[in-house]
Amino acid sequence: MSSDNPVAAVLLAAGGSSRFGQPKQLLEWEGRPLIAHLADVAWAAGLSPITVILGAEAERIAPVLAERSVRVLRNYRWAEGLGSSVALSVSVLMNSPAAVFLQVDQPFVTPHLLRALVSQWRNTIPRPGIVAPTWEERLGSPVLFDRMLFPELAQLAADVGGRALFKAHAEKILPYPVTDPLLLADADTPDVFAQLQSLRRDPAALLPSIRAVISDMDGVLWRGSSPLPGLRNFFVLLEEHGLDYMLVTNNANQSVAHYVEKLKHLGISTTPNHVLNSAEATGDYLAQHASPHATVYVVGGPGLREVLTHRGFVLTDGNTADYVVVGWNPTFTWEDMAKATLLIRQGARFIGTNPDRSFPLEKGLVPGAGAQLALLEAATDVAPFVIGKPEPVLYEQAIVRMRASPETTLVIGDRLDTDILGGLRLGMPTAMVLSGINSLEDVHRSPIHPDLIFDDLESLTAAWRTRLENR
Amino acid sequence: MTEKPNLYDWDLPELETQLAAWGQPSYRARQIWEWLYQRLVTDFDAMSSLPKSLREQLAAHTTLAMPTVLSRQESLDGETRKDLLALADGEQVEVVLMHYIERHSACLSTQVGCAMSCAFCATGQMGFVRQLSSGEIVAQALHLQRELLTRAESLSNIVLMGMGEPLLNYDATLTAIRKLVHPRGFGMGQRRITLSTVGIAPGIRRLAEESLQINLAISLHAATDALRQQLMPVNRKYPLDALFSAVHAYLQATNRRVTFEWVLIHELNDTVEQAEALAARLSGLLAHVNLIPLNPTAGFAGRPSSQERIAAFTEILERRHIAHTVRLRRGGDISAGCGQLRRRVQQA
Repeated sequence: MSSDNPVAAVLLAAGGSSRFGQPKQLLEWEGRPLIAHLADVAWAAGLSPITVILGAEAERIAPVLAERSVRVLRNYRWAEGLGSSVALSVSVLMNSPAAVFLQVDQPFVTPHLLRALVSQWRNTIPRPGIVAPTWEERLGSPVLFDRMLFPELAQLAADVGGRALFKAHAEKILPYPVTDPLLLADADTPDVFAQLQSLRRDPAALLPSIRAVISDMDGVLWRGSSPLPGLRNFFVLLEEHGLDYMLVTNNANQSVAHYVEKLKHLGISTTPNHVLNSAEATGDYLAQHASPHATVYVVGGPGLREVLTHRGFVLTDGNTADYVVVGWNPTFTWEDMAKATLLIRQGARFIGTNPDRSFPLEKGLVPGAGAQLALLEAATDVAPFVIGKPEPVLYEQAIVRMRASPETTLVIGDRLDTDILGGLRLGMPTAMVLSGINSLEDVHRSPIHPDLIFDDLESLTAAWRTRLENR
Repeated sequence: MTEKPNLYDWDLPELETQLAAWGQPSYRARQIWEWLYQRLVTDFDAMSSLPKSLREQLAAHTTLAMPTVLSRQESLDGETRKDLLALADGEQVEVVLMHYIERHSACLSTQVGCAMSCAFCATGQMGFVRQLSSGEIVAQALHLQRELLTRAESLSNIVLMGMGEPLLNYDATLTAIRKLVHPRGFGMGQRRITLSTVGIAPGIRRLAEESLQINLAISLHAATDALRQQLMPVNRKYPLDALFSAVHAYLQATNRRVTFEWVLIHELNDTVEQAEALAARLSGLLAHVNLIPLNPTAGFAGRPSSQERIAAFTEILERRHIAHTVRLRRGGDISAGCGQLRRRVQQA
């Protein structure tokens, strides 16, 4: 069992809620039942599989998870205590190198916090048995357990939690200090829950702290050849308040110059250093990480080839290569596929510019780069390393180029599963505009929860201006 | 030092030449080599496949200089052990054995003392005494291996990271490495050996041309010249630009990943600026960073970075996709950091 396998999540939600008068799993948080909110946070963090342990009032609670890809286990012994739920969950973790245990009453836990626990675990030697968030030296929850401790978790007494192992394994605990205690707050009582709800920041209050912006383009700035409302005012606001910005797109086929030109036609003057597409980000990534004379086999359009040649990489005809880089290619043939497959099977690193499986043409949705990646993954059993959203590299490169930091950089996008999810994973504030792909209905159904939702750039700009000027 | 040469100092051709001079057939050299480095005997009489006359001749003209153990410390968890060894002339070096999940790693010294004076290093605080010969370097590994073999175990990795700067004892170090990897000698896989340097740029360039598959680790500890020369005086002689130009040459010649060691010292080199500068330096390099919270030594006021600062530092490397590992302290309770045991014994 490889430690590269994904880390699992276990959402402990079997307890009764005598103090709440209703199952606390169903209390409302951000318009959703609390238990669904936490399952969504675990999903957005990339934890897999996600197991939810239900006990008290399981019949009433289970339906709210029906549309989420989680595994629900029922603990009939829930009344004996938390330990019985932990022990039960371990029985289904055999393929996971570690698992994060979440409590249902911690609404402020974020995908970014969960990802940080996992990366601390992965990058520490000797491998920690436990990674626990701390505030002022006190260990909090959620807690990651390495599989070395699964046997002990499986034998927990029913009336204690996983924390019972802390004492015996003090030397195996890696503390992860958080910078905001609210992340770890738990709502044991209705009073505390009410308090947390009131503490729940007015999301728009974060706007004045924003120093930089990463925005998607199509569906946010324009649609087709028409500017969307608020375009000009938005750039005026950025200019007036000295906010840096990066316009990013998963599209690897249109050059940076194309976007600068397009904006010019829409009356916005910008420069190439404010635009980043997934081809450029792929070039940056390889320039930073490939060895000096790495050879690359490109399955992609001329734009991608040019970006890589420009950075000094030797492009091959596909008979040898250290890297196979795949972007959208409308002339993708069986021959290309075979060459890429053989190279990846021989150990070449498999990189994809963007994960978009399809994109819209007037006649409907047609295959995108993600479809080519899926095809090669099927042929090679190797998952690609993807540069574009929602994977982190594109946003990270944008942040680095601006010398910004993720906490004060606002992501603006119209797509939940790429623009917004990418931001949430990196701990960035996110603003959804409804002028593009996803509707408000999509937002309510989705496991991806943007911090802010606006009709369009115009209403975002107006809200932002108000906040900045009424400080 | 004794007058007679130490047999462990000779490489195979030297041994063959000597035996030829004594009128011995050429296979004798390989037999002796096997007794020394595979069967690990410590006296000539045990070399039972050699004629008695040859054994006597060897004993008359050479010695088998094995170090003796002066003191030994074991960590509470039993995973790390440190021996203070006395050499033939009474000088002392340390050798550390680390056990970790079926791996046994030896940390060997290459000099008595060290001239590099790194601020946080106990060996650096003691100054340079003398070079070790190749035989004295190899003998440290033999000492540990002999003991492991009695438990049907053997060394799985060797790091030249103990006392001393290996690239300032270049020839002896390289001869020792070639003995350790010699298929008829110790037979350690090249990729299981790591040479650790403070960044002697010409030595790195020379190493690049050796056609070896060993690993190179560079003690970096700071990514700006101002801070690095404060911690490591060698940075005045080989500033970061010179060091990294040698690293580029090394990578071009070998295409082998270089490890950068970074001891995390609280509020000194664990800042956002240092993390960003480190990421910028390593951009485009086949590199891995080992982050090691400081092992406090007497004589240096620094403390290990707090968990908060380690988390913030690693978050920056994570965001820049710089491969890194935090190495939590092992053997801290026995001051396994090199040079610490020798100091303690001398002070006692």
